[in-house]
Parts: sequence; C-alpha cells; structure tokens
Amino acid sequence: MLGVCLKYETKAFARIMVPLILCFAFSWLFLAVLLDGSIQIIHSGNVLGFLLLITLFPMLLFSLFGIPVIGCIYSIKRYYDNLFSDKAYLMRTLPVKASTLMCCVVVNSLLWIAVTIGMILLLSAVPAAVGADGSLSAMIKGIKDFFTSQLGVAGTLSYLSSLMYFQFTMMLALTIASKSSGPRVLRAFGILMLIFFVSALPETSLMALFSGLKLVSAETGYETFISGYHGAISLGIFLYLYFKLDKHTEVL
Amino acid sequence: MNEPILTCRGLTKLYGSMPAINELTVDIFKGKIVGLLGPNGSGKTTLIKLAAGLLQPSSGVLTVSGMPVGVETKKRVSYLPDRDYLPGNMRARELLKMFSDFYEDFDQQKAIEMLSRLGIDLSKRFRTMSKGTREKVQLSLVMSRQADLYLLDEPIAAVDPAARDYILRTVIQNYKEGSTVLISTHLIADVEPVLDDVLMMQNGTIRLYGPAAGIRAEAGKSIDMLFREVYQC
Repeated sequence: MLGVCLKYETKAFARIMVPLILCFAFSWLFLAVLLDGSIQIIHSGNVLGFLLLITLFPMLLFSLFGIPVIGCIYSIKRYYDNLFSDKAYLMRTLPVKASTLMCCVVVNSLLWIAVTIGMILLLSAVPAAVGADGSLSAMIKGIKDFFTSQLGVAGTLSYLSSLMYFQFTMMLALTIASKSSGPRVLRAFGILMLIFFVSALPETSLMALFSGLKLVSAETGYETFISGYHGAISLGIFLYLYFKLDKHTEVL
Repeated sequence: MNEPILTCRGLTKLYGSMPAINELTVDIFKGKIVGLLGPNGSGKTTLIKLAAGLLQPSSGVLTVSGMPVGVETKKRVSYLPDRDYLPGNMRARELLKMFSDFYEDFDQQKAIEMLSRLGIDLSKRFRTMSKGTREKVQLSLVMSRQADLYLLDEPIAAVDPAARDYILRTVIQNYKEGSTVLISTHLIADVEPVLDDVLMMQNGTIRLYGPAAGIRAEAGKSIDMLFREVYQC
C-alpha cells in the first residue's frame, strides 16, 4: 500500500509544485537568454534590460528560497489534512497505517526539495553557458561559482535542515494539538513556539560549549553545527511520530 | 450466523474526563442490520468511530472479526461518516479509481452502475455536486465494497424524504450477504422497517438491545414510539 499512497501523495504535491517550478524555470530562462545572463546590463545603460532585470531578479531569489518553503508549508498542510481534518475520515479509514501516510508526505517534501534544487542547479548554469562559450565546462563552472558566491554548500544545508526542522516540529505540534477540540492550528502554533524555545536552550548551550572547546568556530562553520543539530532533532521527531502516530492520533 | 462481528468488552472512551462510551460490553452479530439509536450525545458516533479506527479506546477491548482495530480490520469495514469526507477536487471517476486502488473488495463496476442510474456525470468534481448528490456518491462508493461490516453514521440525517428512501433501498439491495450493517440514526421511523436488531444507547451505555421484532412485541408499540417514550425530555 505504500506505493499506492506515494502515488496519490506525489500527484497531490505535483499539482502545486510542478506549475511553480515551471513558472520560475521559464522566468529564469527568459531572464538568462534575453539579458545574456549578465549583470553588465546594469552598466550598459539599457533601460528596458535594466527593468526586466529588476523585475525578474526577485523571481530568481524566490525560486531559490521560496519554492522549498512552499513545499515545506504544503507538506505540513497535507499532513494535517490527511490525519486530522475532515479528509482524515477517508485517509484514516484506508487500510494503511498513519505512519505510512506521514512517510509519504515526508518523502514527497524531500523529493520536491530535491527536484527544486536540481532545477535551480541547472538554471544557475544557464547564464554561464549562454554568456560564455556554451560548453559543459562553462556550465559546471557556473554551478560552482553560483553556490560558492551566493550561498555556499554549508549555507544551503543549513537552510534546508532549518526547513525540515520547522516542518517536523510543526508536524509534532499539530499531532499534540490534535487531542484538543478547540482551535487546533492556533494551539499548534503555541506548542511550536514552546518547542522552539525549549530546543534553543541546549542549542545555544552546546554551541557555547563547543566554541569553548574550539570544536566549532567561524572557520569550521557554525552553520554545520546548526545543520547537524536541526537534523538530529528532525530525525528524533520523525522516529517518534513513526512509532507513536498510530496509537496517538485521533480524528475528533 | 451467530458469530459476533463487533465485540466490545468494558469499552470506555473519554473526552477529557467526560466518558462518551462508558464500560460498554456488547456483541453485534454477523448477518444483521442493526439500528444504533439514541439521542444526541449518547455515544453512537463515538462507537462507530472507534470501530472504524478513527479514535482510540481509553480502556477496554474492541475487536472486529476477533481482531483489534487496525489495518486488517479496515480492509473489512466500510465506513460512511456523517459528513462530506471525499476530496472536493477529485472527479467521480478518480474517486472510483482511488477506492479500487485501496480496497481489494471494491466492486468498481457495481459503483459505476449505481452512479449511472443516478445520472451522475463521472467527470464532475465532487465539490461541484449538490449536497444530495454528494451523499449519494459517498453511499454508492461505500456500498460497492464487499465488506464484512458496514458502519453508516447518520446516512439519512441531512437529506429529503425521497432521498432517504433511495439511501435505505441502496443499503438493503447492496450490502454483502452475511455481512452486518450498523446504522446510526435518530430518524427511527424511516429505518425501523429494515432493522433486524436495535441497540439503544444513553450516556455511553446500552439502554436496550435485542431483535426489533421482539422489542416491538414486548412493548406493544413501534420502536419509534418506544424511543420517544424512553428518551422524552
């Protein structure tokens, strides 16, 4: 049944994610090809080109940061809908475990983040490929330059692990809040804030300790530490939900 | 046919500290159409949701075909909730496909025939249908399963009298022979003619349970009249 569940979940995600990814892919390509993928347009005095650049450049940034965020928020929505909303009357009576439904949502959120990153990597190479000689080496150089200059691998990982951390924490908060019959989303938000606060205490303590022991520094990367910490908490929440979900979720 | 399909032993379900089901011990037998009757808040929906696996018991035991409620029992139980529960963006055709993907006992041809008889366009999205049509689509899907236990929670509560007749006729004509139908309702006069057994609940416990004909003979009045007498405010 996992396969069947995954099929339906992937279809649901695709309805949201594919148009978004395609929309930004086309915007980016348009930007890259029309403007020759070059920032020199700013200095050339081409007003139309400059306007296009400042219009389309936010889209580039949005596709970098926004699409994974939308994927994350959508996966939280799917988790809530499948397990606790009116739709749960359908999903929770299917001959499938609640943990399987959760896994399908998690797999899809990771899958679409991967697809988005893949698309961004490809698109980030377009300016270099078009602007330079169009060869494969130029494309690879474009990818490398983009990541080292704009974000960095550690920064990307930190960003993604923070997203996953938010996603799993919100899933846990919704699960805890599902026991109440009042405004659950509001209650879940309160629980989320509490979890953030509680988990921030050991995070800062560990950071201070590791810095004192010179295990972490600006050179070795605070971002790597934060990624690891968020990753560990996300994994812990995932395992907790996986083993406890069937017995602890109710459709009130 | 005297084997129980649904067994409760000391079943309790608490909402906070309030018991919705209180130390319930009952057997519901195979091959019967059972009316689950009682006023609002008597625990009818909670019992059905426990049997469907939507709620977890606070204490006690609940089994379906001798198995604790879980994935295996969900394969044998066909559940119709008291609300619209199908995804509004899905077309009737997609809903049929979904049911046949998830339920091995789903008879897609039968469902298509039922929907065709009602003149329902299979390419129409669920949310664009009228309330009555949505009820009928849900019922057609639920009754097209060859389940051992059908749990119908207030299936005739929100529809007009003509639609009530259709719904009850559909239930009678389509449930698998030898299976059990548990219908929760407080519109007793409408369902009384089709009931084999009656289970009356009050405050999460059994008020009365037995064959409908026996209860009628003993009380000298219809179940509907008896209900009004028992639960008069």
